[in-house]
Amino acid sequence: MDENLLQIRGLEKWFGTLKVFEGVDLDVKAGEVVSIIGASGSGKTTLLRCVNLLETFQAGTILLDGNPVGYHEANSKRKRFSERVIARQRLLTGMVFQQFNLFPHMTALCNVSLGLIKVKKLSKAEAEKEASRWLERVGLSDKIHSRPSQLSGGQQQRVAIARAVAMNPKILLFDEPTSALDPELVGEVLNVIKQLAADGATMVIVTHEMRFAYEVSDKVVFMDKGKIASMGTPAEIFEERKSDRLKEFLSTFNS
Amino acid sequence: MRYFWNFNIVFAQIDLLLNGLLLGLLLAVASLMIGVLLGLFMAFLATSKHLWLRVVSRFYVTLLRNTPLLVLIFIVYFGLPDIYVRLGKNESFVFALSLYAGAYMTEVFRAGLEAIPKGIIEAGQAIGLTPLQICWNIQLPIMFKNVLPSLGNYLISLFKDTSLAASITIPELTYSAKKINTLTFRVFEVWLVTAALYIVACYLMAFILRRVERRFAIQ
Ligand SMILES: Nc1ncnc2c1ncn2[C@@H]1O[C@H](COP(=O)(O)OP(=O)(O)OP(=O)(O)O)[C@@H](O)[C@H]1O
Ligand SMILES: [Mg+2]
Repeated sequence: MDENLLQIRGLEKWFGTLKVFEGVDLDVKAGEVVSIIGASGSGKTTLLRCVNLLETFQAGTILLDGNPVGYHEANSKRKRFSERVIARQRLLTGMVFQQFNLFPHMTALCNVSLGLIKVKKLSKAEAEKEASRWLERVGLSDKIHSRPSQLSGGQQQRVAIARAVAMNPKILLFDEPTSALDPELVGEVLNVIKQLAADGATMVIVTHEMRFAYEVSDKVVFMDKGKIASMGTPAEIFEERKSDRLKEFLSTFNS
Repeated sequence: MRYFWNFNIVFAQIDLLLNGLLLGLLLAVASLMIGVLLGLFMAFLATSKHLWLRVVSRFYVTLLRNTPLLVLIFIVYFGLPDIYVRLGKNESFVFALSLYAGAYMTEVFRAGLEAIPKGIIEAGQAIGLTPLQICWNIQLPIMFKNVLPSLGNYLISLFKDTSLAASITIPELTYSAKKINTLTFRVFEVWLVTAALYIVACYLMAFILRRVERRFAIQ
């Protein structure tokens, strides 16, 4: 398939008077794994949040699976879709947050099955079967009845990944999925993500794990001050290091 | 001089006191329930993104938190009939106490809602839940779990406040005690027994509530 699952054109975003994006364009094809790297404050998180419609944006379009999300034209005016429509559009994407953000009052199983029951309208039994299948996939079959407070960071993040993939989104968005983890727990989470990539999932991953980005990505995007400064294959980005800014940024990582 | 204690004369009327205690409990529970609904409503206004809704909530809380309960009871009981709103004694009292409790609950719930990390709500949005579903499945359960201890303590406090119902001759515990006092003139005995009844009832409530809390904490 050559269709773009995600197509961003001319994205502009302000926080008050601060302009975060100056016309960002990005394409992600089905089955592609795209990593986004860049210095702190360059807009990586904000870009993912725009795609997931957790942030507003002031200009540009985001197409998911060919359809514009977030905003539409009405009487030649740009209007944000209603919250109900936006809730439905969010089903096209799955989001994994840096801080896991599990529902603290629910078991792992309920965290994963909630959306299946309330949004996908599966029966409780079906939803729980599906949820435990995903929890098993991320290696947590013995933890399905644990609460987030009883799980390690790595386990919590794996539940969060199961929660996102269980909704069967077209694209998975990861915002620094391992940045809040102790070093010894990073591997287990990255392995789960690699497995999903191997199974053909389409993903956009913001990460500071350069070795992981090198290994898992089809395309690497280097963001700098609200713009996409370089984009290419892992080899082009990490080995050729075409621009000075990119060299400077990568030199702060010793791998 | 010696004081001759005579508790028997009070105990002879104990069912009057116990009925009064029960009525007080009912008044407190009814007011708490209405107060919780009112507080929830006002707390959501308080966290709304519309300024004027926040102002409405703020106005209600400020007004009610700064009016003495007894004055509020008099306004409702003696004032409302003047504008042709006729309520019975019990209804007037519950109305006043609910308004009063609602203001306190608004503050408790608002703090409880604001304490929920924004990311948890965004996680709900990210799996496609609508705002209403997020409210019902995520915000309310987390908030209630956090405020349950304050809620329990406040019920006890409301129960003690029901003694003010004596001022509009509702036959709850304090009023009943006053009545027995007038009949028997055993001042000390009557009020000591009354105090003991309040203490035991409050202590029992605290005990039961703590068990309930622990259950919720484990779940
Ligand atoms: N809610 C907000 N309100 C105002 N400014 C914000 C907000 N969120 C982000 N910003 C600003 O937008 C810019 C981009 O932030 P963003 O969080 O997207 O960066 P990032 O690339 O994810 O950084 P990091 O690597 O530190 O996570 C920064 O200048 C930041 O200060
Ligand atoms: Mg970030």
